This record gives sequence, C-alpha cells and structure tokens, in this order.
Amino acid sequence: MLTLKTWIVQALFIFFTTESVGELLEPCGHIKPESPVVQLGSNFTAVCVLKEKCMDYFHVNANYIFWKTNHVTVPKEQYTVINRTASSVTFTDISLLNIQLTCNIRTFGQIDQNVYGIRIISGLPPEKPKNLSCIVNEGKKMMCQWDPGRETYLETNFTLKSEWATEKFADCKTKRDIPTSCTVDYSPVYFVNIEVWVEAENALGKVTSDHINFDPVDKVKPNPPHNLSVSNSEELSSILKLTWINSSIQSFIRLKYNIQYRTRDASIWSQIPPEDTASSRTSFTVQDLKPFTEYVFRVRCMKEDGKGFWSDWSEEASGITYEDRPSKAPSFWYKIEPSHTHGYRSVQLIWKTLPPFEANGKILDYEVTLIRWKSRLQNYTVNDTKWTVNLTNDRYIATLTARNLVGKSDAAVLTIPAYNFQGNLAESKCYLITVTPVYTDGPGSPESIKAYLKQAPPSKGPTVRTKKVGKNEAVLEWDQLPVDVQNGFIRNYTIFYRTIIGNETAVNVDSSHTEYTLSSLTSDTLYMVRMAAYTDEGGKDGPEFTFTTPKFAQGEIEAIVVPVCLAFLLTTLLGVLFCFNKRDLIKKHIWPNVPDPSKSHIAQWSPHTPPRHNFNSKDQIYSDGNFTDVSVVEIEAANDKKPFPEDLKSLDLFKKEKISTEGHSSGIGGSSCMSSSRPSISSSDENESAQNTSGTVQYSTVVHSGYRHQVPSVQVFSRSESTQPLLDSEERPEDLQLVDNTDSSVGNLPRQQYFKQNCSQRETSPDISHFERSKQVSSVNEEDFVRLKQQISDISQSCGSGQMKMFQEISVADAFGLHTEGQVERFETVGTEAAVDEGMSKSYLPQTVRRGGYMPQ
Amino acid sequence: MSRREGSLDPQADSTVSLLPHLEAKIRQTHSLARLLTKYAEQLLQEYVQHQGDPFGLPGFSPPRLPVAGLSAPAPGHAGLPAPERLRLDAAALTALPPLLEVVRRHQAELNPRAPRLLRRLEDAARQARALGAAVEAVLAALGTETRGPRPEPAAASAAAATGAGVFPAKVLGLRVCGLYREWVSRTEGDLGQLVPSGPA
Repeated sequence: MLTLKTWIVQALFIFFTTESVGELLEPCGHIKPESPVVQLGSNFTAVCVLKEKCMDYFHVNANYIFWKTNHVTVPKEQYTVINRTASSVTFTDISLLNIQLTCNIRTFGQIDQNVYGIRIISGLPPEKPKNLSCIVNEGKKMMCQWDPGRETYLETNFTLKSEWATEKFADCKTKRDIPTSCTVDYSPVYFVNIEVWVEAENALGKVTSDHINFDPVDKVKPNPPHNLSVSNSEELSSILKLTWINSSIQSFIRLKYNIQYRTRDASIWSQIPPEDTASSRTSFTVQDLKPFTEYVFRVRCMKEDGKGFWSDWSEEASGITYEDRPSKAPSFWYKIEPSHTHGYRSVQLIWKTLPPFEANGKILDYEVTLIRWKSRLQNYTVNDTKWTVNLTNDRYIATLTARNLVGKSDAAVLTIPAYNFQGNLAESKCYLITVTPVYTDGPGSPESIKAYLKQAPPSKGPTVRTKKVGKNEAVLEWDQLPVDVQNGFIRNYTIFYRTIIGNETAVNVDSSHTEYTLSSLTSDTLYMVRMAAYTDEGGKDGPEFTFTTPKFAQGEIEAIVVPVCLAFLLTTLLGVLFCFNKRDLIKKHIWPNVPDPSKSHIAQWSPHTPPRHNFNSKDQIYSDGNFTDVSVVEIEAANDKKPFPEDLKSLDLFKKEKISTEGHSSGIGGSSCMSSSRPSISSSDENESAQNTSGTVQYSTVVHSGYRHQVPSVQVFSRSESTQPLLDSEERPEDLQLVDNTDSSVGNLPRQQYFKQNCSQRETSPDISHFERSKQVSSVNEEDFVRLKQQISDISQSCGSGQMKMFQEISVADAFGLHTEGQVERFETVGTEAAVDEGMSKSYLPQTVRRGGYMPQ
Repeated sequence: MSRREGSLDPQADSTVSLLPHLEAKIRQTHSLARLLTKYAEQLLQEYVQHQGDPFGLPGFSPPRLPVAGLSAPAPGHAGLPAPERLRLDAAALTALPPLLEVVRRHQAELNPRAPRLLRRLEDAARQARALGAAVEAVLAALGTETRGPRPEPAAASAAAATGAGVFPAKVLGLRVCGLYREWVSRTEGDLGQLVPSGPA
C-alpha cells in the first residue's frame, strides 16, 4: 500500500510538473507497453526509449538506462540495449501480482533520473466455471450459481447467459462482490426448457462453462406450506391431524412432503416416513402419539418426482393429543400413627402423583377403597395425594385408583395389617420379604427377597424319569420340587444310577437343571436310577426308576435289513433277467419240444432261392414255432447250364460247413421235412449210408444231442411210426395228379420252395401246391417217390437258373450215390448226365445246412 | 447451439426409447399449455382493467372483429384428427406473438404506467412462441409435417388497425388477448387427449 502511494505521488508529480512546466519537464522517454497485464509465471519484456533531446541534454544514451522494480534496481543481466536510444528488460516467471517498473538514467555526477514508469499487473486467465446449477424460488426469479474456479487476481466478469429454443434472454451480469451467482431479471416460465451457461472473462482471456438445459419446474423450490394447524381427536388419544395450505405452485405440479414432529420439550425431530407423504395433500393424520401430550409439527414440500428443491420448513404448529385413562395405578403406602385411641388407630395413606406419561391426562381425583376383613366395601374420593383415616385394629385392604376425564387407572392394592400383627415365622417355610422405601413424596420401588427362617432337607426327593433312551445313553428329566416340600433352597441334585450287578454311580447336577443325559451306558441293560435333592441342611432321595437300554440303536436294524433285502431283490431280478434272455436255451435243455406226429406235415417246396451261402440262422424264418432246431433247405431246380464259378465256390463252402456239422444233423420233424437218417451232404463215409437209404424216404428225427445234456452213445435216428395219414394227397391221389398236371403248366417258376418252414410269407398258392406235392413225395411210397422225381424233373426243365440246375444235379448224384468223389467234379459230370437223362429218377440235396439241423434229401 | 434437453429429434439419442421421450414431451407441453391458459386468463383480465369504460362493464360485448392472419378456432376444430388440430394450434401460436407485440406497443402508449400489463403482454408473446415451438416438436416427434404454409404476418395490418383510433386499437387488443386465450386453451385440450393417463 505504501508502495502504491509512493508511486501515485511520483506519477502525480510528473503529471503536474509536465502540465505546468510544459516542454521543460517533458519525459525523457517512455516505456512500452504502457499498461501491461501479464499472466503469472510468464515472461515479460519492457522497452524504454529515450528521446534525442533528453539524450543530448543529459549526454546519455541507452547504455545509461537502468531499470527498477518497486524501487529495486534490476540486475543488468536482464537488460538488453537494443540501439542507441532503446533498452529492454526481461523478466522471467513473473510471480508478483503488481510491479512498478521504472526506466532510469544515470547522468553526470551519478545523479539518477527517472525517465518513465509503468505498472505491471499480473494474474491468471479465468478457469472454466464448473458446477453450474440453478434454482427457481417460487414466485421469484431464477438464480444460478457456479464454481468460478481458481483466483485470477484480475478483475473477472462472469456473465450468465440463457435462452430458449425460440428466444434469447438478456445476459445476467454478476455483481462484483458476488461473482459466483446471478439472478436473472425475467420470470421463469415452467415447462419450457431453458439453456443456461456462464462466460467468465478477464484481461487474459474468456472461457465458457458447460451448457445446462433444464425445465425450470425441475429446479423449483416451492414456497413452504402455510397456515399449518393441528387438531386432536376425542375418539383417539394417539392421533393429531395436521392441515395446511399448499403454495400456489401446487395448482400445476404435484408435491410431496416431509412432516416432522417432536414433543414440546424435546429437541430432536421425528419424521413421518416419506413414503406416507409422497403425494399431494393438504392434511395428514399423525398416529402413534402419546395421549395428552403436546407435539410440535412442521412441514415442507417439494416436487413429487424429487426434481427440484425442498421448500423451507413451514412455521411450526403445535397440538395436544386427547386424554386417555391413566395407564398405571399410583404407588401408595400407609403410615400408622404410633398413638391411637382404644380400638382404633390413625392410618395415613399416601401416594405419588402419576407422571404425565402415565396420567394420560389431568388427574381429577383419586378413589380409595377400604375393605375390612369380612366387611363391606367403603369408597372415598380424595383430591389430595394423602389421606388419613381412623381404622380399627383389624386387617384392611386398601385400593387406590386415579381418575381423569376419560377413565380410571387400574387399582393399586395395599394390605394394612392388623394392629397386633406379629409374624409367626415357621422353620422350613419360604417367605417373600418385600421392602418398600418411603420418601417424602411417596414410596419408591420395592425390592423383594425369598428367605427361610431355618432350612431343612426336602420332604420329598425329585421323581426322575426318562425322556429318551438310546443304546448307550439316556436322557433323564424331572420336575422342580414344589416350594412346600423344598424346606430350603435346593442347592443341587445328585443322580444315582446302576445296573443290577454293577456299582452305583453318582452325578451331581446344578439345581437350575431339570434334565440330564447319562452317557456311556451299556446296551440291552437294565438300569436303576434315582435322584436326590439337597438343601443346605441335607438331601432326600426320590423314588427309584428303572429303564432298559435297547439292544440296537434306532435305525440300526433298518440299516442291516434294508441292504440285505435290496441285495436279495437285485439278485432275483438279475436271475430272472438272465433266464428270460436264455429262455430258448433253457427250454431246449429242460423241456425240449417233442414233435407231435399227429401234427406233422411235409414242408413245402420253396419257390424262391434264399441266399445260398447265408448260414445265418437269424435269417431263417420259421412259421412253426414248435421247432426249436430246424434246418431249412432250399433247392433250386437245375437247368441245363453248368454252375457258375461262384456257385461252385459256394458249394465248396457248403461242403466245408457240411463237414463241420457231420454227424450232428438231425431230421427233426422228418415226416414234415423229408429228413433223412443221414446227412444230406456228407463225406464219402456217409455216402454209404446214403446209398443204403437212398431208395427210401424216412420220416425220422436225428437226436443229435442227448436229452438234457445226456450225450447219447450212438447217433440215434428215430423213425416216425406214425400211422396217421400224413398227406391229404395220399388219401386223394387225384389231387396229386392234378398238381402234377398243374406243375407242368407252372414249371417255369424260377424257384421252388421246398419246405414250408422256409417259405417266405410272400409265397402264394402255386407254391403251396408244390408243398403239397413235396409231402406226397415224403410218403413211403415208391410210386409217389417216382412221381416226385417226375415233378422235380419237370421243375428242373422249366427253371432257368444254373444254380438250381446245379443243386438238382447234386441232389440227384448224392441221393442216388452215383459218386463218392469230390463234389464239383461229380456235379459237372452228373449235371451233364442229368441233362441228358430226364427220365432218370432224381433226388434233392439241401442247398443250405444249418448247424445242428438236418439235411433233407 | 447445443442440442436441447427435451428435443424430440429421434436421431439425437438412439439409445433412448422414443416413446417415453415423446410421452414426457407431450406431458410437458400440455403442462405448459395449461399454465399459459391460466396466464392468458390473467392477461385478459388485466387488459380489460386498464382499458377503462366501456371495457369491463357487464353488458359490454365488443364485436368479434376478424384479425388478419389469425382466425378463431373453428367450431369443427374438435372433429379434426389430432395432428391436424395440433398443426392449427401451432400455426395460431406462431401468428400470435407479433400481434401481442403490436398490442403491447399500443398499450405502452396508452398505459405507460401499467408495467404489469406490459410485462404480461411481453411475456405472453414469448410464451406463445415457446408453446408453438413445443407443439411443433411434438408434431415432429409424431412424424407429422410441422411446417405448413405460413400465414401472412398479421402484425402490419394490426398495426394499421391501431393507428385508426384508440377505441379500435383497444378492441383489437381485446380481441388478440381473447384469441390468445382461446388458442392456448384449445392447445391444452388437444394435447390433453394425447397425454397418457397417470400422474401429471
């Protein structure tokens, strides 16, 4: 400040001298810039330019210039002589806010002359104003405030700008003393969005805050509710109803409220849950208040959706809840005057006034009743808190109730003993001794204690019983002894338990317990238990109780039985499943099917040829389920062609298969299948038997395995001895003849079904006719056999399949035992012969052989 | 100018569902219309108070002169579709501010010591513009063409009417204030049909 004054004085001196003296005191030079404003921390350079006239006058030039800041000479290192008349000075990192800079020259005689002076003002550009927010006080103009940012040390102007989408409003310029807020001079219009921002500007720059856009109604601070009043209800002493008038803004926005209350003498406010006051209203009933208590209320409001600001609190209003009947009886006591007249005594009853929270209203009076022993009731109404009455020496019972406008309190009861009352205290009896302090203003809180004049052991011991018995433990329980038999304070219990042969064990239990668990017991054992209760003077046993621990713990038997049953069931189930899966095998070994000759029939010739090398039994279709082990053979009628190579190959395979099944093929159901007692295709050894039997057709079954796994010593060939007519055609030879004739007409069928069992379901009646003929062939009738051969021959001629031809030739060769050499060669030969000799009787060889099956011929 | 809060440009913020935004805008505009209806009523009363006799007398019923560029709401207005009604509302609200400004200027000459009336007239012009813009924003959000053929500016003919004499000028002012009230009220009604039920 002193520096400033000094500078002003100097400046004025120069000014006035310049004005008054004119040219004589004209400054010798000047400084550029004239009025600099420099940013703090930046560099600054000033130039002092001397005038020629002055230089000549003082005989100086720019080298004579020296600079002073605030009267302190600036080091010459900061000078720069630009030319003869100009010298500059540079300051780096300006940190002072206000610098007086002077340009001086040193003239002859070391006299310093001030040439010129300037003032350097430094500061900062404004920061971007932040946290711009606005508030619309209801009925007033909108006011916005913001955080101006750092101190600029310069005069900074803040301007609040605002506009609608359709209008621009006048700028709001801040007052110098309040640069952080501004109140616009137009009335806000609710429900129209307004955009507001702040511009801050000083000598070093201008910056604009972020724009905010809002509806003024969302920034409103309503006026507080007014005319708040409180009224009580005579029906309910715990409520007060508040009513108020909302501010006018309520006509177009909805409000919510905060309601606070407190008792008159309290300082902390309680608040109604905001969710209960979240909608527009003009009244509210406050509940759960204390009766006859004065409460103070205040209310405030804000926009219902929470946008905006809470209003100020309303003026406080108070009200008193209505009275309720006294909630507690007054405490009272008596005083008996030491002197009394004969037969009477003066008794003073005294009681305390109820505190307000128990009186629940103004206590109008008290009602005292006195009941003498076996006498009637006497009522008295007293307004004071004490009452003296003359009573006889009898025992009295006094009651006291307080009454207010609403009702009476519960009665307090007091016994006034008889005059000559002396306590005849007995031993072993429990007494409750109560002491009530009596103060000047009434009795205090009584304290009680139980006491015995003299204790004794209990009259009875506790009765113990089991609550729960386990394998190794038992839970015992008992009841507390009645006071009459305790004869003292029960200090502890002792439980004695033993087995019949064991030692007795004792366990001490605290007297507060009524339950105890005996552990480590032996299972399946009889225990005897009894219990004793002890006072300070001794104990008394109770009755003995017996119980037996179980052999198994709960659930133990179940834990054993259930898994065993499950295992048994599982085994049974698996056995059943196994038997079910192997039922065929079991049936075969245990009760094999025995063919019923009466149901025997001859297989039908198959009109088609199944795959010759298909030995898979799965592909066999059996129309008669009674056969459990039946081989099916299909034979294709031979034609004149030679067998194909693959046919020969298959035949070779067939031979191998035959060898593997040698001696095991059987002719089950031979009567129906033209089975033979020998394999249809056999090795050379068997050909002998073939030769022996080639002339006959046997209805036989070869039992290739023993019954029920009994291996027969020899191959058994059972011949059917059935005398039943086997073929319908036997009885009706004309049918057969007819069939023959028919065959001749259908002899061009490509395949023949030989046996019904192997027939496809697609086979039709012509095949059946072949079957019928086959049955006829099966009969032991040579004539028929010749006819059969005739049929075959016809079929052979009509069939174009080489394979059929081949097997026909094989069957012929084999059946008649013409060759015993290798099959292929013989087939070729015989096939040639067969082709030549049509009239030669023919037999049939099986095309396929099923393992364990039979080989029909 | 930065994008305004409450702008109904559907592309402004694609993440915000248009429907709630539109609903909020309709609700806000309806509230504005309701507020301005109340203000218009106050303006009319204030205007009548300052015109002297016979204005305000019980039996005084000035002729309902036509105002160039601004017609009264047609009787069949309510039967039009909502967008059409709003378009008419917006056009009328756009035509009103110049008329109100003419009335204000005339009243400034006639009643220079009635600043509240003058301020109300000035505010009414501004508020009519704001309401008109808000209605147009609603129309745009509804996908309706907002800019129909603009009526010819009525201010010039109105200014001419005020120059014809004091009484005709007062009558014109009364008529303009009455039309302002009618159109704002009509706009409130039209928007009210679009406001979803629920708390305002």
